[in-house]
Amino acid sequence: MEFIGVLWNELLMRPMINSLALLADVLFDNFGLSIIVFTILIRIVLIPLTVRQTRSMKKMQELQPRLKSLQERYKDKGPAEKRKLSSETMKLYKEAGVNPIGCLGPLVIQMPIWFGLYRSILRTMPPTPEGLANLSASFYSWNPAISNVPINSKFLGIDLVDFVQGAPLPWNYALPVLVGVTMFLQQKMTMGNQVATSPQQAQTNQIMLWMLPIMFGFFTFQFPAGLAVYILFSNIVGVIIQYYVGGKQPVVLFGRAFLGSAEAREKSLAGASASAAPAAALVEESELEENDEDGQSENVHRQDRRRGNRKRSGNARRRSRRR
Amino acid sequence: MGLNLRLALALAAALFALAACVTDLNPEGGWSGPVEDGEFLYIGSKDGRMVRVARSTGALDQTWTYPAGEDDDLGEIYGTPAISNGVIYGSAFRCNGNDCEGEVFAAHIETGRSAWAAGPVAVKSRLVGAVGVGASTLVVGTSAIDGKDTPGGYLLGLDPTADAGRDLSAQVSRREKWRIPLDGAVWGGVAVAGDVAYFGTLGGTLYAVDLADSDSYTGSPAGRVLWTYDVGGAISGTPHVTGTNVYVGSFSNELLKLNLAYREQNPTGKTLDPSLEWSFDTGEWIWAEPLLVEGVVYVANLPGQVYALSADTGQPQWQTPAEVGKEIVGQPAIFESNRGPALAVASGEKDVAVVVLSSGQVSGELNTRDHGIKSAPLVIGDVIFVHTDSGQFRQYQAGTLSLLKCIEAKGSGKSCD
Repeated sequence: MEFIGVLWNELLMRPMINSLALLADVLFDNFGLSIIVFTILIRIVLIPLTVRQTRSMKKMQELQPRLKSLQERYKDKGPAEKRKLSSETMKLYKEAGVNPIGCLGPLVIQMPIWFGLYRSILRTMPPTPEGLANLSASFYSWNPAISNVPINSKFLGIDLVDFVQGAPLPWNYALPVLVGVTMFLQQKMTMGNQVATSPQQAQTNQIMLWMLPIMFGFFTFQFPAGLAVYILFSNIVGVIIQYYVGGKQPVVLFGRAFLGSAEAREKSLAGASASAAPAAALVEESELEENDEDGQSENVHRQDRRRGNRKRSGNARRRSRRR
Repeated sequence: MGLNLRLALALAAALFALAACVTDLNPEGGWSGPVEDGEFLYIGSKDGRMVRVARSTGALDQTWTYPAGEDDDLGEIYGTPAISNGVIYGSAFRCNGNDCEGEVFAAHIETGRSAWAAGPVAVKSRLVGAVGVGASTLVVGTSAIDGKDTPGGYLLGLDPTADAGRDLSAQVSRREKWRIPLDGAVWGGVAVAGDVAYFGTLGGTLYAVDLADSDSYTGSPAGRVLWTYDVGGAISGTPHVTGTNVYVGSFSNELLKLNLAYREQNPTGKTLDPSLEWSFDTGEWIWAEPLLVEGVVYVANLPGQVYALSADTGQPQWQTPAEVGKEIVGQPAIFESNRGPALAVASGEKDVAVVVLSSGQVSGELNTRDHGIKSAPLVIGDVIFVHTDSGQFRQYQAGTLSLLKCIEAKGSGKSCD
């Protein structure tokens, strides 16, 4: 356990504390700017992972109908069949070249960064005597920022180590709202123009799109303002990166398309109105399904059967060509 | 529910849980050192009260506590209290984030009752450093008040006089005599010598403030500032004042000796514009107040290296072969060990290192069983008293370094053996 603590401290906390303090030193003794620049650098470093995550999500999306079909085939079967379902599923992933937990990589990597940053902000600008006494041990001896301690924790009238709810008006409300809005925007762009292939997925998409930003907006009240600034700018940079990684796709919001070329915006609007009806139907269907003991959606069945047939005939064609 | 969604929700919940339970924003109970008055030692306990221990028995005096109410406490007490004319003075604070409530208190050492009829003076600030007691003024250094950005802190001048037999209607609301805005928060103690207060700020400025009651300062409390000196790094400890010299360490890693005798004096005879006599770089932050004994200055830096410097020249006479502890915050104390005069250097990690005064060799330690100590040890005769960060009050025999008694300086005062 102690070893993990040392690793956590040496590999994450100390580099973060020193980077943040050094950036603040360079950026006119401004810790707010330091957090923003640090966020941008972190997001830039994570771009390859973001691209990988986007691709992985796309592939997983494409596999959904086939997975659904497999699950349907082995539904209500015994343990032996369930094991077969697992092996079939893994085979499917292998064929498609998808690692089922590959898309989690960036999230898993970002988690310690979030936790680390949360702790680093509090440790770099300690509001308590204990924290200040403990701080010198975190600095590298070569770091010139050590002589600037205590670092000025004020940014745009906000104390970055104080809870957001304790920030002056309008920041105590503006920060949570901005975090929620930018997170919503990022989710919207990450999901892009994905069309749900099942009622469950349609529901999941809706939850991801609405619930997470709202939850984070509320949680932000309890965060130190510095962390809220990090999340806010991480979202903003995420939106920019997603725009380019996703091929400069327009974003459809409240019936209007933004960003992208005029042609792409028109296309998106047309696509959105066309997909709105099926998506709504899927959600409705899912609600119906919950009330239905048999719970089988004919629509999904039909889609799956069609996809299964296409796949089987494709395989047959490939086999005959090989022969 | 999709895997991504579950993971994202788990991440959000974990982050929220972390935000809810993290304690870095709030102080952890202070590190007040003991102070002696006759038969008793007075300590700011970890549960936010002033308590006292009988020297003869080493037991907590259950009949004396301030505040007296079972549910009352003052908050976190960092500064070692000061006793003057039968009254014990101190400060404490508690915070929720940056929302801090501080109190300056005065209690009769006989009864434990407040010496001020209206109770403690409330200040919406972190009150970390020890208070200073002048001839007619009690001085307290603060951080920013009421969450305001500027100034970074104040020096408050309070009327310390006890209320007994006085016209309270004129006193209770007018205890504050003046306040001087500063360039940073005061987390170190205020040293008072010759009715001048010396203290440093986290902004890196050493101040000298005239405490005399003079009409010339009426309407302009800032005029009390006799001089300021930029030491080049945050000052979190208490300056050591002796005669015409001030020794002060800071986060610039240097110990400075300022000589007040070199410069001109103002009309009231107080020295203006101190002159730097020498400086010594210890390579790390200095928090603990230095100690001057027979022409030698002893100073420990925060990571635990101890130096003996010639007070005249600043030249090092020795330094400990290695760091003797971690987070050295309390001033070292001198005592007579079996191997001659020695320094007791309390470590924030654990134990009190015993450093031979003549050579700088570490000859042993007062074993605290892994309890860290950030307050200064107190030596009375052949007994060394230490108040650990966990709230234990430990007493050691100076010669043999053996433990005499250990009690919890809080709650029922039970033995911690």
